[in-house]
Amino acid sequence: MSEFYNHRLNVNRRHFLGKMAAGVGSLALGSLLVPDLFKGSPDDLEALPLGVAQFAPKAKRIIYLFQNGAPSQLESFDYKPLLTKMAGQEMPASIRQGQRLTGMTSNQKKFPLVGSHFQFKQYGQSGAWISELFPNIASIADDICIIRTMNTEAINHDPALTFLQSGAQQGNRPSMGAWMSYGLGSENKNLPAFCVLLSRGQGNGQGVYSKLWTNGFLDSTHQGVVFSSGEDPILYLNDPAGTERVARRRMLDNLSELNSMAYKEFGDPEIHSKIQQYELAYRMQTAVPELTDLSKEPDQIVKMYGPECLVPGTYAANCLLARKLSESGVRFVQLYHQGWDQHGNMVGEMPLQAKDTDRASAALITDLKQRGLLDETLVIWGGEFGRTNYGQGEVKDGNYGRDHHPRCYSIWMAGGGIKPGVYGETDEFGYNIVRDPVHIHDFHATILHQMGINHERLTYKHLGRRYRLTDIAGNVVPGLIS
Amino acid sequence: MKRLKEITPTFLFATHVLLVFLLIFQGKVHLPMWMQPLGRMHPMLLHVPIGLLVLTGLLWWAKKEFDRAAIQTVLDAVLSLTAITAVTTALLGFFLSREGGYPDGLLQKHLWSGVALSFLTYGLAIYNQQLQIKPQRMGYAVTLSIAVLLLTGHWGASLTHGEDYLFPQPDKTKEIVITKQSPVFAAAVEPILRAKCYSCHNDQKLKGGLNMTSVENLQRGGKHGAIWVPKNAAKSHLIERIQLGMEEKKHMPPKGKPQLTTEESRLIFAWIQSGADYSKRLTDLPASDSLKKLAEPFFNKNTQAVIAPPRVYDLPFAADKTIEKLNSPFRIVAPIATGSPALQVDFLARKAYEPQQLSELSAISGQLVSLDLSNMPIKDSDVKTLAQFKVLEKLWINNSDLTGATLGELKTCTHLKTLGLSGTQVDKKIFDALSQMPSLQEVYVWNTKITPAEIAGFQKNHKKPHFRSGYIPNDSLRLQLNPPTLVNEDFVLSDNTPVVFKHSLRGALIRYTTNGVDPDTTSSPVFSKPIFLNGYTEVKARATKDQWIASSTVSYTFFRGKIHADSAAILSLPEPEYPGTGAKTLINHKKGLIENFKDTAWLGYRHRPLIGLFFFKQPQTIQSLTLSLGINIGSYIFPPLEVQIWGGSSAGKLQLLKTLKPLQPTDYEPNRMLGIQADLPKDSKFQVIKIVAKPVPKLPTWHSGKGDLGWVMIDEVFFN
Repeated sequence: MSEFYNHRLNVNRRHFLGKMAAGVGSLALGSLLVPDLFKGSPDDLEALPLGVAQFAPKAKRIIYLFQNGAPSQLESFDYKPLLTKMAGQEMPASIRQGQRLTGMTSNQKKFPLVGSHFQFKQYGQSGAWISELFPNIASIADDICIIRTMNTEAINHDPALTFLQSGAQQGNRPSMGAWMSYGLGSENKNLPAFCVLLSRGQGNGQGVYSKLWTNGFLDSTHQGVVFSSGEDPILYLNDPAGTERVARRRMLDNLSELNSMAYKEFGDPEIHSKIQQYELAYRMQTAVPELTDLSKEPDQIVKMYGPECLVPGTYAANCLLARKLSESGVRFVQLYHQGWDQHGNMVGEMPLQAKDTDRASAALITDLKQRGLLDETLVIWGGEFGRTNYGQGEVKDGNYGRDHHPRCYSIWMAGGGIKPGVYGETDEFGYNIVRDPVHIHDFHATILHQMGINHERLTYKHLGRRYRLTDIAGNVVPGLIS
Repeated sequence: MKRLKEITPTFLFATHVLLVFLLIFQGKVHLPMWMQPLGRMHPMLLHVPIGLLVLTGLLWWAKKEFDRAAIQTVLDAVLSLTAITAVTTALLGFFLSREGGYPDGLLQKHLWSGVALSFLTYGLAIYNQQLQIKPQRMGYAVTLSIAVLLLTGHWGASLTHGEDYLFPQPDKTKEIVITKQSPVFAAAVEPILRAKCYSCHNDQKLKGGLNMTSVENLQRGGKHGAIWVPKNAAKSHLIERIQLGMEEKKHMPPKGKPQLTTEESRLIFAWIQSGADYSKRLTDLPASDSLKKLAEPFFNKNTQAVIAPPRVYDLPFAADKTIEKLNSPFRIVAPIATGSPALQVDFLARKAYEPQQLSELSAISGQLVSLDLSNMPIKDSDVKTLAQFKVLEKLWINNSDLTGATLGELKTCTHLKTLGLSGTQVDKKIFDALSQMPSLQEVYVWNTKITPAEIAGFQKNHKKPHFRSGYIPNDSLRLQLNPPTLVNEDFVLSDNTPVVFKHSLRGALIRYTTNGVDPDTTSSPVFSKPIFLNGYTEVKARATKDQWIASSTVSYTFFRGKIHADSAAILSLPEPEYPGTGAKTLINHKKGLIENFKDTAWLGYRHRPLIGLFFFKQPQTIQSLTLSLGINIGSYIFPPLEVQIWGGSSAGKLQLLKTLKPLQPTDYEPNRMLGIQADLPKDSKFQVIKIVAKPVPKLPTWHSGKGDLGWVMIDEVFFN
């Protein structure tokens, strides 16, 4: 039997034997003993239709403002005056509890505590402490929920990023956006359901790579589409000069016919994906120009997001584009802003990074709100882990650095049915969680819940087992939901 | 076999006598330690007589299929074995029952039915050996035995697995809702007992005579009396048992069962110490109380907020066909969730919009709860169509052509909660029209004619709906402009390429200089038309605009070579890591990127000076030349210590024209391009030019690599 023939049947030996084993005999016996056996149960995982929420969702769309490199929670949203008071003193062993450190500081002889160089103040009804580096985010304190007790399992950038994006550290699983695209489909059939926008600050940076927006084992139509940071966010979208729209349509129709023939012959699902991708690109030719045209944005918008929002490839421009994409029904817009890895020169780099993101992030929330879209759009701001309460290397001339810290860190979320306020509490040293931890799996489960998906029931069978974004863990965190 | 047959009657008789004896004197029987393991074999052995008795039944039922004598022999053997194993099982069961901890009623039922079963099988074995058996009588006896077997087995299983094992009862504990007002016992202590103690100390299983499943049972205590002494935790039996080492037999919970965590045992200790009060609340305790501190995390863990169930709509379903027909790539019609009748509609791409697309939605007017028409050319006359969507809850008409004149017609949408009108021409006249709407909560009017003062005026007299004005720019806010951007893609200018700047903000001015000086925000020339440059030039530019802070200055270095060398040679090898593409690297008009010295556009020198020869077929008047270099102080890449320029008519006849000592940095500085320009004697013609550039032999003392060799990175030489 030829491989092609096999493929066409879409059946292989293992499938065949598997079906036989569960065959006639057990069927008869099973239905005798349990009359409801073939009725299907609520736990029947495959029975759920895709492309629509499982229950009425709070949020329809997500904008994830990913702060790549791990912004320090101790200079942003987790105020620890004790660290300033005890600056230079050794971290108590009772706090450290022998927890693992990265190779960068595990050989340090001393772990001197270091407090924030930046001042904190309380804002909003919840009295959230926010550092002076984020005045604009502070001004929307009543719209956001600061989670101070995020915690993860990975301690280095790559595995932590991969874990946060895909629910596993290894990097062979679909990314969060791909799961959304798979589970909920695209609201706007003329744009990809999962868009990725990249920008870079001036701080010490960490790379981003395509495995962070991969479709993993899901169909490749769910893959994140990276927008170019140049003038044309989507390249090669215009018809070549002299090509008429009708001719383009005819060409695509013929191409699709050829592809369908190839699909019939080989049965390769990738051919099917290809046909769909061509069609999507054709429709994008209508949808995208309206989207990327900033000339209609009123002047207030520029003041709100900051003038960089008109410079393609900046974080502010990406925030503005994210708003427009989201407004047009893109399920999941993922931004990455690089440059948050302050192992040294916290005092120099942190303000630059904060300046990049503070105004535009706050503007995005305000902008969604003033259009009545914040209720249905979940915005998340945060990195892959936190930073240590002790200095990496020496504290010199008032400047310092912090190493990676996965035990607790701060992020914030807004809109999408998330209850504004402050959630969770870390100890006075900002090292361990005292109350209400939110593990990455819980975070994923909660996000999916807000999107109308039971995280235990969005599954995909691959290599003989069912996979979920939350793998085999995760609980929805009710305290985050309004 | 024969011998076994002989012994069997004796054995059966003796064991049954023993069984009866034990039953009569069960109150006085004291089981020696070594027999305990025997008793525990009961649950294993009991399966043998079950199987054998079932087999007997089957054989009896199918006896006609076999030879009569054969079946008699087989039945004989099977029944003997059944009786032997049954009585043994019964004896072992009796031993096990002596260990205690089982609910009495159930135990007695199991015990007596087990004994009965043993006697029944004994009887069957004897009866079957009679010469004349009445098949009917035998049949009744077998059936009866199996019936007793089923009963015995069921009671036994209930003893092991619990009475609700076969027919599970809904878990009553789930209904307990814990709040901040719950007593400490119910919210924190009891959940621990439930998780770690109930499995052996419950209504069915009373190990040590102790049942912990209710307050009354706890107060009653076990066979050693009360399990705790209020206000004296250290003397409490429960605490003593918890605190015993893991190896101790009396340690609780027993080895192999889930253990208490440190926090849990501390909490129980503190609760007993504070008086073991079942009704004391967390709020009754002072903030410094140790019990309060210990119990708080448990409260937080156990008092999880309940997630509100998702909204369910009670609407008639629209036909699937209707939905399918209405759906298009630019008008998405979808249920809000699986199985929900409620529908949402999104319009996309203004270019694709046509007016009838809106009126067609009347087919689903009974299901449409959410409609997004933002950015579509919706006119005042369309409001009439919208008014027929009676179950509509959310409606967005942002950035449309509405003026608001007809919005009053929406009053038929009695469920409308959210209305988006941002970016439209509506004015304060809509206040009156919309204040009539019964359910309307939020109206978004950002970027319309409505002012915050007008909203404040309306809101003074009306609580609902809320009008949201959104972001109003603060006039005193001054933001810094972003710098102008350069349109050029290449820094090597060919003959007619100009330098072009642009700025993305409408009305921003770009001021620039070409003389290396920072541009001034008032007097430097304003960029209005493309700039043409003659040779190597550093262009600096910044953007300015009223009410904005001028941008920072950007600087770009442009190179231009009017005269091209026909060939080149390098007399000293570059370092092997940076070989470029050999000598032609220097005359290919390809500049390297400052971020990537690995690019083949670069030649790198360190141990030797660069010695390059450039040849011109025709004698050329060369007024100046420019060396294009990269500077990256942190990576040891400095300007050359010295540059020599030689010229002549052939390689053999060169004379030194110029020696330059480039300015050396005095501190770290940003990475950049550096052009070193040398003017040559006027009106002299050359056919060969030689350039020698010597790397810095010792890095300065302020540098982290002080004393080390510096690098020279060069990508091009331009002649003008």
